[in-house]
Amino acid sequence: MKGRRKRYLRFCLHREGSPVNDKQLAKEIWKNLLSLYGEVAVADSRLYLTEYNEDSGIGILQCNAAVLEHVITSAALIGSIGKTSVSFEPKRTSGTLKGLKN
Amino acid sequence: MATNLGLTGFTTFLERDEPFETLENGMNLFTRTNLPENGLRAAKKSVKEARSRAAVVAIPLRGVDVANWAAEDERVDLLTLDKPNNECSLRGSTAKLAAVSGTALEIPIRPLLKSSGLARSKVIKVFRENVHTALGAKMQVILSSGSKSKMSMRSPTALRYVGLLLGLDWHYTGIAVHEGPQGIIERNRKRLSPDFVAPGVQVVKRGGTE
Repeated sequence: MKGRRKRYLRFCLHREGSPVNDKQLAKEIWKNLLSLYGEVAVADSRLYLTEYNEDSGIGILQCNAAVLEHVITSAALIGSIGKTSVSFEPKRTSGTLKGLKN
Repeated sequence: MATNLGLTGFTTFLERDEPFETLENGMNLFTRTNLPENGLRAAKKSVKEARSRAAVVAIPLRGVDVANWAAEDERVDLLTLDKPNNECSLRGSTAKLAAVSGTALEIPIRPLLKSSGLARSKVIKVFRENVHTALGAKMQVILSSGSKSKMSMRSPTALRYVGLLLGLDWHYTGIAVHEGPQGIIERNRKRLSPDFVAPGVQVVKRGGTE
């Protein structure tokens, strides 16, 4: 079976309040993806946080290339996580992790 | 925050001495006025003064009369959908008038951040329908954060992705986030210049006393 194409996204999570951990962030993106695009999109997303620094908010997530747009839109529409107000900023996308770090 | 998000400027409702201002850190600050939404007479009365002191003049999209007048009046820059509900509906005829006069439809994404589930789907419905009407009539669409706090600001790239959700294509989202707002600011910078006489007419050289 031909593998699904992955995409990596470098992002920055700006926040006002206590730090947000990787599980909280991933859960909130999933929740928004489910709400906006439905269960099929979540099932196809193969969304994982590859790297994430709680303090700086900078991280890398990977997902299925076909739903990258949906993942970014869902993340951009997150207003708060718990009691922390956040603003998700997509920085750069790439097909490889190496390409993103260059 | 705006600098961190990669913005080069934003509008504010705060009273400033100058409509166009560049701060020490290079950030551009533009004054903005929303005309009163309680009737055509009040809007007409305040537009002249607003135009002379604000870089951007907007009016909320509510009644048909006010919307038609604003769409036709070149002094009004934006018809804004700040409180999207079923009463906020842009008519095709209004959009055609706006396309001719250069009035744009502003979609502030704040209501999308403040709602979820069914309530958000209703907001998306209103936004998508109005965007569709505007694009059909070749009326300019502008995307903005519409934020009242710094954390509801979004980066230009994030706004472009939200534009996709609202039915814009990727190329047009660039226009809605970058070129469109820039064009309005440049047009009004010329209008508020002392050399401006009328649209298409400006003083290019002033004569001496001799």
